[in-house]
Amino acid sequence: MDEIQTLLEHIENETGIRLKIEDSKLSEEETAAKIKEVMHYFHKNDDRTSFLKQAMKGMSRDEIHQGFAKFHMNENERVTVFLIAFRDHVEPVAQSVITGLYDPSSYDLVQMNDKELALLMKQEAKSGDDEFMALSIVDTLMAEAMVSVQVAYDQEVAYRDVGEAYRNAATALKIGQTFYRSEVVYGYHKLGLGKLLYQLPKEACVQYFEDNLVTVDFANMDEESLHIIECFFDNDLNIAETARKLYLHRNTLVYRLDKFEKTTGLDLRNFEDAIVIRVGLMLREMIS
Amino acid sequence: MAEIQLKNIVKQYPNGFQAVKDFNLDVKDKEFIIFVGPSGCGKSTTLRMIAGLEDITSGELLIDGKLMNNVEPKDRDIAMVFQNYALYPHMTVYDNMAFGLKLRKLPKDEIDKKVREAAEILDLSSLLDRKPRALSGGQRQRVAMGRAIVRNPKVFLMDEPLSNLDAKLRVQMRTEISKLHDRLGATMIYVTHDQTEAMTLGTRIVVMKDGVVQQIDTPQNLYNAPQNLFVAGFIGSPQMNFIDAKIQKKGDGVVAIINGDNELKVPADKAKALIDGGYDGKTVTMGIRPENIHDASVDTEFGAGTQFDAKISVYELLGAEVLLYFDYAGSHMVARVDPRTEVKAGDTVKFALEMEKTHFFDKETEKTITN
Repeated sequence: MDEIQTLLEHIENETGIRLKIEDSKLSEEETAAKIKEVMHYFHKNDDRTSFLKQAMKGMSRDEIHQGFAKFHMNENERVTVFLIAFRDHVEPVAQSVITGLYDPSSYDLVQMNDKELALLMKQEAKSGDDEFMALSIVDTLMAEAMVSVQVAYDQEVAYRDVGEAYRNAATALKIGQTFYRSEVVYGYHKLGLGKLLYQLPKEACVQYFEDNLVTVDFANMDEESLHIIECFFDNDLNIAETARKLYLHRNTLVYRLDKFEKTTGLDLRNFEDAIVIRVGLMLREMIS
Repeated sequence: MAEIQLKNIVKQYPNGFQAVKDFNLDVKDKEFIIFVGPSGCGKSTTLRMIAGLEDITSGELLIDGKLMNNVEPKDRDIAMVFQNYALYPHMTVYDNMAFGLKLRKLPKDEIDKKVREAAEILDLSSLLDRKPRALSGGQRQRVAMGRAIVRNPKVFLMDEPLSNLDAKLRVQMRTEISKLHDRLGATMIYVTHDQTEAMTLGTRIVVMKDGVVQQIDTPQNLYNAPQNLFVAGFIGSPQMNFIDAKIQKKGDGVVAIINGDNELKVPADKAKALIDGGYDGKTVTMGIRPENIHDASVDTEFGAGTQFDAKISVYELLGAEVLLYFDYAGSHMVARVDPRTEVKAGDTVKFALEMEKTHFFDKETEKTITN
């Protein structure tokens, strides 16, 4: 019985999973052998996870090819990489929730560092589109594990290209956290202008302000005005729609836009001026 | 028992943006509170601060008198339901509801008791052995609720839980949530952008805009006595009509002059508030709800000094009522009139305003002068 207890503790230490033996018809030796089998399977699986982690962090094509052969994995199989970022650290309880959500054969879950998990989801196992799946992960973790996360993802790739997909998801996370802070899910191919601006050097951003926005005092602009401007952009410069979304009277909105034009010389109803301000607002986020 | 107090709560992000500004609220035990407002108004952020999923920048959050600012979410004794819930597809309904309790390592018999009790409340007892794919949309939503109920929390937090459902199911689930609140007798905070949902569910509603609380009141008071132009426009569907009106003393009374020449008689109590407030000779915003604009040929009790003519642009028959859309004095307006009306699009109609039901707002501050 001591040996079984030691093995169970060993499993708990290594995996965080606490097992109990109840109503077993096996002898102690047989039980111990079964537990060792479980450990063997875990280590084998763990090796696969380590390989995938390395493949995502950077491996040569040959190494990746050999790895897939070693673990009997189909390198052409299509997967989507979801990068799950925790606020403080990866919560074990969150891992349990995620593993409960999907068929074990349909995904790999890899801890990339103390704050991030990568969920590699096979194409045929996905239900709904990637964005909905990412939102489901966020909401389910909040409801079930009381954990707040952000999820970034790239488009579906062949398994052998998970490295690129992971890097894209990591970039999407950074861009999202910079430009789209109120959102919790970021698709690498849905980042629009943010992805382009993120690649600009700081000097170019500063130059942009000097060239185009000397009349705009972003620092002293009140939050309500900023919110109205952003909502106006989000609604394609449509006054009626923006007024409706903001529950403002149309005339009030027009008055605000006129006031902005008077102080800055930029008319937000004009597409060119709107672009100048939109880019300025985003660069301001990046620089800050 | 679960009373929640939010005292001067502020949420400020590192870039200086304040998502929630000086939020104050006392939620009574067993109360059903709704946070409502347009997208980006700070309602979900406030809910997440109560849950502990978002840090509070300043202010105090107390649950049953205990400061919760730095208490871990899992230790706050709350349960949450969100919009994009996912059920565990390979588990039965029973296991879906039990899973969270298993993670918390509760004894098996206790889990069983809680799951069966929750299933009973939600009318899911006969479905416990089914997998999610064999359930209807409404049943799945109830399982998601069940996962929160089994925790027997002090407080339920719900963030747009019905937003992904179709219109019919939404209405059905709205009733179910209302019944659930009565049965559980728990404190609930519910976030929605849908004012109809807010009006039908809440005992009190917190209306928010740009991170600022606009009004906290009962549904009835929000509708009848909005404190500002925003609340007046936000609550009610179709929304309240707004029109510029110049206030002027005339003889013993006061008139609201629309369009430069149409004089509408202002009732005495409202006239007093306007004159006392120093609005004589000034232009204010007059608000009137669609149901308080009548087709004068059908509702004949409204006399002179309440009427105006307008050409109908759109006619919508909704069965029990008719919506007539028209432009008047530079404003798009809508009237909800008796279906007996024979008006059609393109007709010029004589409308009568129920002047006792008008609201007046300051044009600059947008605050209510009189309701």
